Amino acid sequence: MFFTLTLTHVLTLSAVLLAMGLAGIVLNRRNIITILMCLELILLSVNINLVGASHFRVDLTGQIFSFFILTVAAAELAIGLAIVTLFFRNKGTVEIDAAGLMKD
Amino acid sequence: MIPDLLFLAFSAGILLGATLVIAARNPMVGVMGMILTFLNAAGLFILFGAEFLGLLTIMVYVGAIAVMFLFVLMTIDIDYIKLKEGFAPYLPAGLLVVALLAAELILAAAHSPAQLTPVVVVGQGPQPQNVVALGQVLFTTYALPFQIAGFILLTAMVGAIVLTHRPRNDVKRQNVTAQVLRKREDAMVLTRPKTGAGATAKHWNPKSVAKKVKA
Amino acid sequence: MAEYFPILLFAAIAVAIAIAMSAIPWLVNRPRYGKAKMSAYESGFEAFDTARRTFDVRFYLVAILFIVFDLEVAFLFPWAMVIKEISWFGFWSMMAFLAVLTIGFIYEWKKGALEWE
Repeated sequence: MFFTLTLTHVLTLSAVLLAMGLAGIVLNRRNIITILMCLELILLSVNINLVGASHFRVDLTGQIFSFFILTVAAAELAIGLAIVTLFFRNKGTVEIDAAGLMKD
Repeated sequence: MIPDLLFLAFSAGILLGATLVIAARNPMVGVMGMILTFLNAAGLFILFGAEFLGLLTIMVYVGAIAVMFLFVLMTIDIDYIKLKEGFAPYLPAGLLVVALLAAELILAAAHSPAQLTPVVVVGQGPQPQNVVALGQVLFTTYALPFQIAGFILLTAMVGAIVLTHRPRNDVKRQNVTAQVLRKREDAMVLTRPKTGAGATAKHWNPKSVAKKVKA
Repeated sequence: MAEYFPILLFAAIAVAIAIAMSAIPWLVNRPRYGKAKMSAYESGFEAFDTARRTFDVRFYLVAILFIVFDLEVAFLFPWAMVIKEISWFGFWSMMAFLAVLTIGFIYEWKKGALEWE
């Protein structure tokens, strides 16, 4: 088969996933849950990048770093979703535009 | 050849899941797309030899984070039909910037010296497993990031309790330590009340009567 | 890595069977939806209100605590495999990590976050 897997393909996949996550944040400005999900996609793209580099360089550093990114992503999501729950309890909606108390 | 085809299959699954997350009108469908993405990414990690990280992805991301997303989606009541309206004037500019970023990253990936074919390692003797290899480095060389990760988890725990714990004051609870440490003198007093007066008569003084009874 | 191929085969067959079980009835006998068939069953009359109730936030606290301790256990797994090679330094490194998380555990115990009611 003409297709041989190289690091470039893995980095391309990671870049496309990052772009899709960012595009999701840009497109779904109104719904904060979708924004958090697209943030998770961005972190996953970084993980894929690191694990792919770790495989092609035969170095364990990428996987260690990916492990820590997973830990931080889980902790950050726990707090972020708690904030969203409180936000909904106070405002009654999940639109970001309702969080405008600090405007002018 | 099989790993290359598997990579294509997992990549297709990842991109399909990501499309579902972005384009779904109902956030529940978005969470399902995210779970699909994570499962395919876990398969990709196992394909790259990082089996501990792949299974940890399933356990933590799918098993805990996606579940938390579903909990929050069930808590808040989203009127999903109303949410997709509104066309921002800066939307095309945002998408253009994202497309440019993706193009830059792909170009950087294609022109980097990382275009080598995969290095096949012929190790001497049996290779350690992925978990064992991770453990050998994680607690010795990377001990400091490991401690910092511990502090991050502590922050998450304390923050979660501060934000979501609502103590209930109307529920009676048992204090087992106080129950077990109870002494006989605190619990029971022997008295001799006047006949016909009852225990709540005005002259009834438990301590003095108890002394008289003992003596 | 080749040891995981049976698991992939198992997952692929499970997905194929699930898709087959959903697709074959849809292909054989196309479902015919009608207004009466798709409405909720309320013993004869229309539904007054939505059946949903507010989800309790106590479940969410349980999920967060599960995530934090799940990550702690995830760090414990490789440590348990290599405890003999990393001897005392690795041992005390993990003990410091566990001490930090035990402080958090004592905090949530005293705050009453572990009580359900």
